[in-house]
Amino acid sequence: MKRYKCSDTAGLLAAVILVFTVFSCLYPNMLTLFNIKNIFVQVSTTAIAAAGMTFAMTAGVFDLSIGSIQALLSVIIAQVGLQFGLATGISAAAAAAVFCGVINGLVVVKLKIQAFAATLVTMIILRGAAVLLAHGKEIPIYNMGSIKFFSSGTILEIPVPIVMMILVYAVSFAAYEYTEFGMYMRSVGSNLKAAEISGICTGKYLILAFVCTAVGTVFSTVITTSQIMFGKGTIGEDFAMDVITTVVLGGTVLTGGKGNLFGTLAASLLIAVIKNGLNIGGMNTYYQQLVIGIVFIAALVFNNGKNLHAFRKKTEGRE
Amino acid sequence: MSGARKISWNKHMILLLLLIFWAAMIITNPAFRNVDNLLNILRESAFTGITALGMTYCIIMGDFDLSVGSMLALMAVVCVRLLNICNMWLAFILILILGVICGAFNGFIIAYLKISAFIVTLGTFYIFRAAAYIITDGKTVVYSDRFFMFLGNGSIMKMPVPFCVFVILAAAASVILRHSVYGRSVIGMGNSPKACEISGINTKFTKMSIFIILGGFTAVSAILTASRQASAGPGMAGNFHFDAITMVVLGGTSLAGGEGSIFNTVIAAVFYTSMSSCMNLYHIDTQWQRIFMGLVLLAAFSADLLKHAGGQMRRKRNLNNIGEKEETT
Repeated sequence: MKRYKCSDTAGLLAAVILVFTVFSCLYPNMLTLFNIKNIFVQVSTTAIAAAGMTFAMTAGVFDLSIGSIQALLSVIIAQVGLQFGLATGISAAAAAAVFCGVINGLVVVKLKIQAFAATLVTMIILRGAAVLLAHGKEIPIYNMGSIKFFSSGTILEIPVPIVMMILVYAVSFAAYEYTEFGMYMRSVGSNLKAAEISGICTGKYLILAFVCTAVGTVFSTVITTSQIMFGKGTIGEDFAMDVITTVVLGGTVLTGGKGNLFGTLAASLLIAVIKNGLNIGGMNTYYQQLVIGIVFIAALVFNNGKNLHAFRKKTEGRE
Repeated sequence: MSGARKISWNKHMILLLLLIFWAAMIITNPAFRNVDNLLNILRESAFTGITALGMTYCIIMGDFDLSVGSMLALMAVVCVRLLNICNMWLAFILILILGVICGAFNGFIIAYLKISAFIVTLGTFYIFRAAAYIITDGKTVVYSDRFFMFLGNGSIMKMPVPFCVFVILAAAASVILRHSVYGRSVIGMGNSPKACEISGINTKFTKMSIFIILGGFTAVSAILTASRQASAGPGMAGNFHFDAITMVVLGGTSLAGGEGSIFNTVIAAVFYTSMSSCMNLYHIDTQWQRIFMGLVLLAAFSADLLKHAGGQMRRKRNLNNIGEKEETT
């Protein structure tokens, strides 16, 4: 089994440091402990969901519906949490997430619809369900103080979102690189037919891929909900885009088979640093969206060029 | 050719559905029977339908464009902005050019840099939308010239103007698709890009041109939509790509590419609009409408799959019997 190569991520980390240095020179406010902590906390929500999405994209599918799943989960946490307590609320949300993931997976596997078309449909349906469940309103959860722990609590002086992010990445990395599960996921992504012939139950792994993304979304939704203190059916409209951008920027190949979890983490840092810098510079949010969009396209083009180059090298070597 | 009759029935499934649906509604609901209501459905079907024509080309070739909604918002706000400062016809020409540029941008990255259309247009989805917000600073822009509003709201001999435009464009698109070398090569691209390349078709350019055409159609949609509302906001048409894709898929165009019909897309556009109009008549909540439309799209995707599976089986049988591939028409 091929072991993880650090060089894949080095370029991205260099970019993060470069962008951060440039912004720090421009705006001295950037380089404070408070702001750096802030960047990491902001990163956590996207990064955690992106870890799940990395699994899905490794298996060759992706999930556009996670923004709607996020909205649905936040409403569930608020509704159930207010009645039966926070722990029940989060468990219910986790159950709902697994359910959504399985539904997505079943639609893709059983109805044989392309992942993006299938999740485009579930995106619409789940969004509708989320808004309906919240009766079109925001559900304030101010009297559920315990949830604050997930956004502003600390463990050993480290904010909880950051701890959660580290834990999620540690577990995912172990699962991705060192278990059968990760290996099968990669083989399903790189060649579905070959995987099927060699006896892997491909349908199961495709469904699990969607479940991974949905479960990642649970963690990030808990953090987001405790940050805004609302259950809301309209949050996360751009969430899917942010997460997919992060994963692609991190070097995970669109066609599947090859993922890079640390790349994903570094990419989410890069995006957060850019956003944070533009924010401190007083740039309008519209421009931020534009910049992120352009970075996304540029990353696609760049990654594609790199892969083509690698492919050519390989074929030349063969001749 | 024992399967010929069966295929043609499959092909006109959506027309049958529309007729049954209209018959049922006309009998049961007096508000639906109203001629104004029926004409209004035709009018509303045109705004998304025109883009769906371009999308049909795109899906026949096996690609998608998710950015059309954002493109429409961008062009609508630019259009209204331009109308406030220059001549109307000049503004329209400039918008068409903008549509072509937006489409070419998508198409160039997809065709020449070989990146999957879905992911590129997901990126431009956000870029165009952000551009629309930047241009208007997040505000809605207004223009209410009488002739401009006539384009979206007026009628020529009882027929709504947008629907006339829709029909003319559909006829042109259909003729080009069926009877020109270009159209045949588009269908060929959907069946096998490799075979097309070997037989000397400039596949990259053909691919890019599809996105340019789609950009042009979206520009027409944008002008008509802006005229209908006499205004344009950067947040408009949020679910536009979803509606357009649903129409095309409902029209029986295969997601796998290689087959499809403009005529069916027109019928599907009318069908889709009739359904949402009906749900409004019965005062169904918007969110339920969205869920319902999602289920309709899911059904359409699955129907496409079933048909495809059937087609493959038939093809296999034909291969066994005759030993040559059945020509798709």
